[in-house]
This record gives sequence, C-alpha cells and structure tokens, in this order.
Amino acid sequence: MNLPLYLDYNASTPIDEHVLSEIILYMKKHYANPSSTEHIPGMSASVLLEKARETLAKLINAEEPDNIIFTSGASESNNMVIRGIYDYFSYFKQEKVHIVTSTIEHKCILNCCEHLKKFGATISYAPVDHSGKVDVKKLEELIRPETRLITIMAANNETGVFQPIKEISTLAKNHGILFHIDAAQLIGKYPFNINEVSPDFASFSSHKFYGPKGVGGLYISNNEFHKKAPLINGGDQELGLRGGTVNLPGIAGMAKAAENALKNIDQDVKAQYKIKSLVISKLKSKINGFTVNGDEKNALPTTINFSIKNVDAKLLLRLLKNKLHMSTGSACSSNLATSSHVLKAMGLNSERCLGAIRLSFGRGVSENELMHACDLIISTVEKIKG
Amino acid sequence: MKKILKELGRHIESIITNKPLIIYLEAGHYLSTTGPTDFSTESLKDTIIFSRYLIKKYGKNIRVVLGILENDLGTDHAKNTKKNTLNALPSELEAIIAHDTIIKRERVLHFSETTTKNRGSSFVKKQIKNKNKKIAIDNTPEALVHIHTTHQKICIGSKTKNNTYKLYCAGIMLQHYIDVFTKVKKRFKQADSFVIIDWSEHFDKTKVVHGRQAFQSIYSSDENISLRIFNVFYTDDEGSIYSIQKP
Repeated sequence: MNLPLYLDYNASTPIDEHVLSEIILYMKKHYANPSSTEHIPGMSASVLLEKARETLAKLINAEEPDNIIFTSGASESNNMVIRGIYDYFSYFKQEKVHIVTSTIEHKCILNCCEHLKKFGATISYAPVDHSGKVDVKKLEELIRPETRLITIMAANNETGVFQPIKEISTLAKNHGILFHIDAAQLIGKYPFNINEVSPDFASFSSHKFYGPKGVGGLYISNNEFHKKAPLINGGDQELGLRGGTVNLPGIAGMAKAAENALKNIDQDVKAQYKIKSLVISKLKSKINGFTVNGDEKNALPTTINFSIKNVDAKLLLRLLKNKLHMSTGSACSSNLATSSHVLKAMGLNSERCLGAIRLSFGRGVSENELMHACDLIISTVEKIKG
Repeated sequence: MKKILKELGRHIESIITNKPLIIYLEAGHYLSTTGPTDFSTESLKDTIIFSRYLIKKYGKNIRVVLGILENDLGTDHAKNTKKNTLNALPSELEAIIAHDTIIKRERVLHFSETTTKNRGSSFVKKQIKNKNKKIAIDNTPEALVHIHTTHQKICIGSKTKNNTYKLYCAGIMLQHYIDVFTKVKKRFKQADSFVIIDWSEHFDKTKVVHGRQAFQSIYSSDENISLRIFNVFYTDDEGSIYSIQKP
C-alpha cells in the first residue's frame, strides 16, 4: 500500500488524470475569450463553453443548460443566491427579508447570513437532532410572512448526513418561499436528480468531485431575481448573472469530471457503502469507545466522522501524519469554543466534539487501503492509550 | 547545512552587533506518553548543528542556550494536573545531546507543559486582579479569557466556576515564553539582547503563534532589553518544508 494515504476527500479531491489533461489542452488550444465572438477562436470557445454547460446540466438532470451558471465555486454560488435574494427583496421590492437556514450549514452560508444582519435582514436557524439531521417541524415554525429564502445543505460536509431537502422543498413551495440547496458535497459524488427535489437554486463545486479548484456553479430555475441583483457586475457573461471572463479551462475540467461522474457514480456509491460499513465495523470491534458521530446509514457513503473515548484527536492525527491524512473539526483540542459548530449543534458532549475526526475517501481508494488504514488507526490508538 | 539553518543564519547575521547576543534555541518537543517522534529528534539535531555554526562564527559575541519543552499533560490537557516533577529526557534525546560536546547537558533547559499550565493559571489570575487592560473575560457562560493585541483577540483560557483559570493551548505558550525569557535573562544578567528561536511542528502553528503574540502583547520587560522571537515550523519531520515567522 502506498503511504501516506489521503483521507480528506470532503475538503478536496485529487484531480482526475483525464480532467488534468483536459485543462491543459484547453489552456494550450482554447485560450480565446468565449465572449469574443467576432473571430473563430472566440466563437469556438463559446461553443465549448456551452457544451460544458450541457454536461453539467446532464449531471443533475436539469431541463435546460441555461439553468447552469458557472462561478468560482460553491462559496461564490452560495453568496450569489443569498445576497442576490436579499438585494432583490429589500431594494427592488422594498420588503423585509427573513432567511431561514440551519445551525449546521457551511461557514460561507452562516457568515453570509450574519453579514446581512448588519443591513437589516433577520435570520433564523433551524436546529438539528442528535443524528445531525435538520428538524423540519422546527424549521417550519420559524417561517414568517417575510421569509424570502430557505437555504439548507444537501449533505453535511463534516458528518455526511443527508438533509431532508425533499421535505423542505415541498414546505417552501407550499409557503411560496424560495429554496436553495448547498449541494457541494452531493453533486458529482452521489446520484442526484434535481427534478426530484425541485429547488430554486443549487450550488456545486468542482474540486469536490475530482475537478479543479476555483470553479463551480449554480443551478438557477428562475433567474429573474439575480438579473436585477448580480453578485458580480461585469460584461454579459453567464446571461448577465455573473460578470467576469469565464474560466474556460477550469469549466472544461469540471465538465470532464462530470462526465466521469455520470459513468461511474452508481458503481462508486455501491462500492463505497460496502467499504464504509466494513471500516465502521472493524473500528467498532477493535477500539473500545469508538463512536460514529451522526447518522451512519442516511449519509454519504464516503464520510465517517468518529470520536474515540479518551483519545485526543489532534494527537492521533499527529502520530499518523506520515501515514494517513484526515482532519478534525477543531482548532484546539482543549478549547470547546473552537470545536465544530456542527457537532455542537448536534448536542454532542465536549469530549466527543473535541475528539472528533473526519475520515473521508472517494474513488481511487480501495477496500484494502482502508482496511490497512483501520489497522494503523487501531495500533496508534493502542499506543496512545498505553 | 540545511536550507532552514542557512536562512536562520542570515537572520542572525542581520541582527548581530558588537554586543553579546543571547540565543535560546528550543526544539525536540515530545509527548511523555508516546515519546519523541522523528520531528523531536530531527529538530533537536538541527539546533545542535546550528549552535555549532553560531559559536564557530561569532565566538564570544554569542551565547547559545538549548531548551526542550515536554508535553507531559497526557492525552487531555484540559484537566488540571498537579504534577510538578519533571521526567528525565528520553534516551533518544539524551543521546543526541551527548553526541556533540558543544552543548553541556547540565545547561540544557527542560520545561514541562504541566508546570507551565499551572504557573500560567496563577499568572492570569494575577493579571486580572491587577486589572491589566489587555486581558479580559467574556461575559458569556463559557467565560473565555482573551488577550487583546493590536489586531485581534486571542483566547488563552477560561474562568472556571471555582474562580480559577484553565489555560488553553495559546495560554500555555504565553506562559512558556514568559518562563523561557525569565530563565535565560537570569542566566545572563548583564545581557540586553536576546533571541528566541522556537522549533514546532506545523500542526502547532496556530497555538504557538497566538501564544507568542499574546506574550508580546501582555508581557512587559525592561525597555532597554531587546527580545526577538523567531518561530520555525516544520511541515515534514526533516524541515525540508518549513516556514519561519519572524519578529
């Protein structure tokens, strides 16, 4: 087995070889600006851009390629949705803006919402249960007449737990509220049909599914809101919704990654669920005090967030640093204030929060490698416990 | 000599004058429970090589002190432990020091994080009692204790229900730098120019940098004394990938 083994796929995935080749090809041959449609290189670039858009639309089964806008990644997409909706309703409609989100969202959502509070937006945070799932009933109780947007992630980046996005989408529609899903951990890694959820917006990020960093996108079902309030004003790129010369090589890379996903996703997921189950089983049987944080089954097949009683997570990672690359949720292993907001929101005790480790894998990590990783974790835990 | 040591050498060259310079080099950080790692041994070897280089180059214009910080807090340094006796250095580290006669073993300083943490709690209590304006307790249930620097608030611990102070990572480093400087100054009473070069793993970068910043913000020393702290962070154990935070 080749060590060290990278097991932090939720943070970022290794780039696929074919994706890399595609990016290099585009950088060498298709360098014209896709907006420069008065000459052949520019026109070719614009055609290739639209082909990439079709591929991404196909990945999520979107009806129209024009439903897909390219951005620099999910953080930009998330900001674009939230700030655009805020601007549209507060400025153009002169209405109050209330947004509902959850306590376990990604920091870019939480910080964006907090930022808008300074400008008069009100924000409510739906709690989660002990398994890490948003409580839909309690979310509904937060809805007010001035609620304009509900924004919820599809799968949590720390625990992998799937969120009840279908239920919430129905709820939003019944109340006439726009619904956004941050699908950065889902799209490209897990089968997803946008029509089964029917959100108004969905964000995704290329480097989560073996594509390059710095590129992602946003599914928009109705662009009337963002046409009036784009996040980035510029030329008429992306239907006037997102100014700035598009990163065609990056987008082409993302499209190649999407093609790979379309081919492999079903068998990947099947194999990954099997591996996940074996890993959990082995660690549970060999390590006293091993617990999985969050719902084991109703979660991404590639994510295991766990704590081990009396074992400092940072120490475990330090001792494994030349062999396994995983991550913890906390900046300091003695300061609960710096530990994961997700695990705290789930009501886990301080020991579990401070001791949490996230192991996330993906395509290209074999069952044998993960079994060996388990052996390394087990032997290191034994060394720590003495 | 490794690239990192050459770079440090250039920094020392830019500082040195005709007055004696006291340089404290700290490396070899290890955990009592699991023993020295490759980082512990490699960084300690590097400090000895560097010491030899400095002494050869600057002679009597420089004095080098070596130190090692032991993490004897166990696996959970949030608990208040009362251990005050220091462990002997592990044999791997003793062997490295013994191998080169440039550093006398009896002159090597050996610090304990447990002792440091206990001393730090007392220090913070005293600062709050003396109403040091740079230190504040949040008015929240967690009662976090912060040091205010020019650009940020650094969390160093929290106040417990018993009115004691529980130090976190950055707080332990703050006290550690106080202890290092106090001991080195005591050893060289006539000196007025000091440098601390502290080797850490990249894992510890945030707490070390915050600890240093908290120290520089809150610790007042003689205005006539110059103290510069360099933090070296090794990403791999050998220090071929490294960063230096300069004063």
